Amino acid sequence: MHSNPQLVEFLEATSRGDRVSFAKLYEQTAPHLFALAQRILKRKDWAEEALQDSFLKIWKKAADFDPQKGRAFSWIATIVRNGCLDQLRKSSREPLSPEGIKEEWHAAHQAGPLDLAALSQSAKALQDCLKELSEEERNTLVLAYWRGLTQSEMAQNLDRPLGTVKTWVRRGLERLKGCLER
Amino acid sequence: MNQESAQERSYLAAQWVLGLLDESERAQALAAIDDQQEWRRAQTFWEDRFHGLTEGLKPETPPNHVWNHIERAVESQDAEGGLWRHFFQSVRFWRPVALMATAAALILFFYARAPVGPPAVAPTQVAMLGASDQAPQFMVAVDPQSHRMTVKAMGKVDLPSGKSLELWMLPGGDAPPLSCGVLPKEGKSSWEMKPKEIEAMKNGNGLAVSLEPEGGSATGGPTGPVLYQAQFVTL
Repeated sequence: MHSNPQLVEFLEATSRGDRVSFAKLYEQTAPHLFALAQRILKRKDWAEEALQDSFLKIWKKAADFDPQKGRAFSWIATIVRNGCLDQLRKSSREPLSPEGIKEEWHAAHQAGPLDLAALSQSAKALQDCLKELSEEERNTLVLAYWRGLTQSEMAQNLDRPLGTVKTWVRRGLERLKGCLER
Repeated sequence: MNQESAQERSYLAAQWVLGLLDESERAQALAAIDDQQEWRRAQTFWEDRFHGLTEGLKPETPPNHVWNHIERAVESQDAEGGLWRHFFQSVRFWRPVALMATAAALILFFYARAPVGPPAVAPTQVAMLGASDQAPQFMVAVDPQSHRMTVKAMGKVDLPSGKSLELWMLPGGDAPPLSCGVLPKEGKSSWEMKPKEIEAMKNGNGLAVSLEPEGGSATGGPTGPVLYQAQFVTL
């Protein structure tokens, strides 16, 4: 799915106003994106709303996708994730208390029984490389992906000094990049 | 590009993608961009990697009413001419239009020199400003009779707080850029051009937009990175 070449065709046809291809694009990606939206927003009704808004954006902006510059699924997932994070920021819809965020940080990378065989090569590499990071570095980066918290917000919610969080972020990203490029 | 700045760019892009930067840090990151294409490439690298996290989630088909709502909204947009609007906003529309406009400008340039008498109305000068891989952000038009310059934001411009975009006329040669003022964040603004600006438009190297402190550069010259550049075409 995540590197499905058909998505590029669907996006290109969508940019020409082809509604059938748009429907196919939705059919193939919506289950993954709905899971993503629910993971961020924690509520089904908010996730539905975010998915609707995101697909309208995809309909309008499909022509901006350039297959030379990234994968189709990433382009779509970025729109959905940003839409969800905007929804959290703009409407103060923080579904988690600071305690909840702290718990989520501790559990951020206990992703459960991952079906490694089902992961794309790139996702598998990410999982492997995340394991090379310290627990704090790994959890901070993963929590940032799911919650979009700034470093200051992260420090506040985790009751840690801002400098400590910044160090986790910098070291974590440096090690992650080094590992992903190996 | 040295290795140190490439690493710093990658580090900033990763933080940007994850949402770790607050407004002032985002503004600093924007100001530090020295190469738009490399910056976009660094962002895409991290987006592609981090979205791998979603693969660990169990897919769930959304309820039917979600798609029904999207379908209805798309139909009503098309009924209001939305399809054309989204086509006009797309880079695939503007790329050929820019080429056609350039071709038209060249044709006009050569025909205007032919002895067929003066045109009834002098041609309007137009420039489209935006990142090369995105839809234009601003349209600039100059009325040849009144020498009024009008700038229209093509959508709502999202800028970090404490920042403005400033428009510059590039006179060419060794002459420094001439400030045309701060660009509107939405809608349009219009003003009468100064004689220097008219001269620069006729003989110069087009327009540029730089990222500046709110209200524009305090030095009289550009201080931030140049985000967009464009030539005038004659319509």
